[in-house]
Amino acid sequence: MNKNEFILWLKDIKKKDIVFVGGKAANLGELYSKFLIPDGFCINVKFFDDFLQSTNIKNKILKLLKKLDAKKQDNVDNISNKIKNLITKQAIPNKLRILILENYMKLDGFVAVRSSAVAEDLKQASFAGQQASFLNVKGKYLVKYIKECWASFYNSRAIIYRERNKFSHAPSMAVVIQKMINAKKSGVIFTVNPVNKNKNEMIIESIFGLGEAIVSGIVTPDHYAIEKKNLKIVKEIINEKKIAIFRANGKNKTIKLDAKKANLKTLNFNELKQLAKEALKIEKYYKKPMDIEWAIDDKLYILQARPITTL
Amino acid sequence: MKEEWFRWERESTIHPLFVPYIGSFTRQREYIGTNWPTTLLIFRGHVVLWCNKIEPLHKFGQKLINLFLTTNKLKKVMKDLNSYIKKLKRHFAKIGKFNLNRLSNEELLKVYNDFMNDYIDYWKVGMLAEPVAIQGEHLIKAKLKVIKDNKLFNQYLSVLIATTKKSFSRQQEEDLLKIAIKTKGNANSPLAKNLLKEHSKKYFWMNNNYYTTDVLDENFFFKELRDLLSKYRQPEKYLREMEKLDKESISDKKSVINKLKLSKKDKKLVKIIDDFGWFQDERKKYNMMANHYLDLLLNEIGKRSKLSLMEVKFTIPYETESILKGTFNKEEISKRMKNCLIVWEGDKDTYEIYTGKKSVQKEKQLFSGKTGVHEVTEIEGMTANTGRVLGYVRVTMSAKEAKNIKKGEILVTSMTSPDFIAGIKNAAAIVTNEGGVTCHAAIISREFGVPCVIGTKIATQILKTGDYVEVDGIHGAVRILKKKV
Repeated sequence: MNKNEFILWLKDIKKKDIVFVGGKAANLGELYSKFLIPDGFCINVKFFDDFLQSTNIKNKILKLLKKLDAKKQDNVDNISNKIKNLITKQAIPNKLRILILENYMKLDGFVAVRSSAVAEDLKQASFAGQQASFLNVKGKYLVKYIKECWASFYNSRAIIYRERNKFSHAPSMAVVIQKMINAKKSGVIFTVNPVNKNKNEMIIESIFGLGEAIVSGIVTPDHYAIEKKNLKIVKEIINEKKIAIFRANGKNKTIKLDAKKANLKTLNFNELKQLAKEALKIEKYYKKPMDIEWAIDDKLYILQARPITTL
Repeated sequence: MKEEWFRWERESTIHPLFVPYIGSFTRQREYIGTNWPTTLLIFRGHVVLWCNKIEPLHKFGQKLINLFLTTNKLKKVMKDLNSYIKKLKRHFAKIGKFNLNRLSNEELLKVYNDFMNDYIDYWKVGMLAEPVAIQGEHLIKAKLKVIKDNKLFNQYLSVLIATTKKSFSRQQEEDLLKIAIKTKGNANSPLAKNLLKEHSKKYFWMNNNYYTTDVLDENFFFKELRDLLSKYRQPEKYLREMEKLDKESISDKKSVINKLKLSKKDKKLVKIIDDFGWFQDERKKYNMMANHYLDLLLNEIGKRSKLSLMEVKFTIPYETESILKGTFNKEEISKRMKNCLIVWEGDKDTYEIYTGKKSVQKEKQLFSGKTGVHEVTEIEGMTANTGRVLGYVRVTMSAKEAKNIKKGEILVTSMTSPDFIAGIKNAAAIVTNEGGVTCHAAIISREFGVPCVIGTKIATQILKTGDYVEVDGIHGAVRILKKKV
């Protein structure tokens, strides 16, 4: 077994590896040498395939998919649930499990477990957030969540999407394991204002705690518009950020912020400026308007960067 | 007949908000011959809804405006506000000077009662601001109806209803920057420290509200100054620019008035609105200060009857004496802290308090009967995708429900998740309680090209499935056109 086929560290991932590691991991690998990215590794597509084959559930999945009728939501839901069950209930063979744990040992402590599907699925933003992602995962739960990520490849919506676009259902899902940033604050940057499409300004939105709450929309974040040419803040709206997700007792905990804290500014000027500069660098590197997720513990980390799909 | 309600939501306890409440009825009527219409306070925990029926509130505002247009009562009102402010300041000095824990119960009660008496008087004047502002804006909007260009309409409206006087928060910011200028930007110098200390004495109350109060110290303002300086590198230049802008806002107003060829009466109306804008800001300033001194008193009163400050703040001024005597029912307080509804009918001289289950029942009775429809007419949020659309609301709180959205309906939800996709495809627009322009709902709306208004806070509470609404993605607002009967 060539270990590199199964697992690649972000620092070793090249753009061309996208077919083994999926879109998210390939992007992170690309950013790794230029920006501060939480260290981590990718469990490649091949690993998933090997797991399915060696445990013999691949055949079962193929059989189930033959009964698929994409026009009937109930039918798809039913088959999707059966497949997801097969995957999550199946123990990972020792040889593969040890391989994961050996690599995890190098990171140690809390990690983020994120799906990284092969690129063609991800071109549409309606797929944004459809694949599973798990934060603050530790020790014995790691394997469980990796399986959850794999299983999300067979979500109803993913199946229907592939049917419509005549993509194959052959397993092609990688999983990224990254050191967890214990974010004090986090947020999203759009390097072009996505609402009025103004290319001269970028939008920064920020909250306290983990960025999950901003993406899902359970919190109304602080909102900044920044003029790109001189980094001037042209708009600043401080919203009441009623809740935040923090790590407490080894778990994600959604806590209510008291009124005073909830209404505090999340970012000071220096942080805004640093964020804006990093965002411009990333935009320049990709030569495209970008959607960037970031987190700050003491340092600023880039968690994800992808082109904006809706301009 | 359908009745519409104005509702203001804010964080608040009962005691500090009850003072303006008392001031709004009997005493106001005695003062100016008219007073607030029936007003409900609905407390859910520490969030309150202040509710008024729209029509009587407009009528009240119109009465006041007529009075100010035809007499010179406005001058007297402004003067009276100032004289009550002077009285309040004396109380502040007195309360600040006392060692409250050395006072006997009787002395403490006297200090409290004296302060309260003047503070209620302050509010009988202060509470003229909202009705004038609401009706004033309404009248100006009617004047501007002839302007069909939406952008121009909004521009004129905002110029005509804005106050041209400096707000206290602007003043505070400028005072801070002046410290930076005096100390040549060295905020760590001893001189700066002294000046910041003085500054904090002047503005310690800036973060107070009806819910909590705080004494901001020089460290707080040091950080504020640092943030300000990183934002405005050259404070002198910034101050000059602001001054220029102030002047411009005055000349802007003049030029709009000229362009529209406003009559003498309308000019006077614009002036009244301008004055009341300043009036409301000034009122808020002393309100914030007073909340600090009120908390000092309530804290001491609570200590003597083994109640926390928060618990005392869920009583009303008329109960203070019985709290000090220890005869007040503590259970009542814990009920109020969960649910409480207070009604003061405009033509009566007293109020009624409903707590616990009774409060919920009363609310139902008030709002769901023949006469009442729980309603505001417009909800504000932020534009996540532009465009304007009319349609029927479908309130959807889960992915399962999302499947029921029919083509052309408006999806109203607290937040969306990727599982909503099946339904979102049919939705003509998306409205959410929470979220920013980078959240999932926002991205999806842009992808499907449907208008999206986010961060409204209350859409799912106000809108009901079947309501007919306008989603205005241009201004980030949702307007109710027809309630479902």
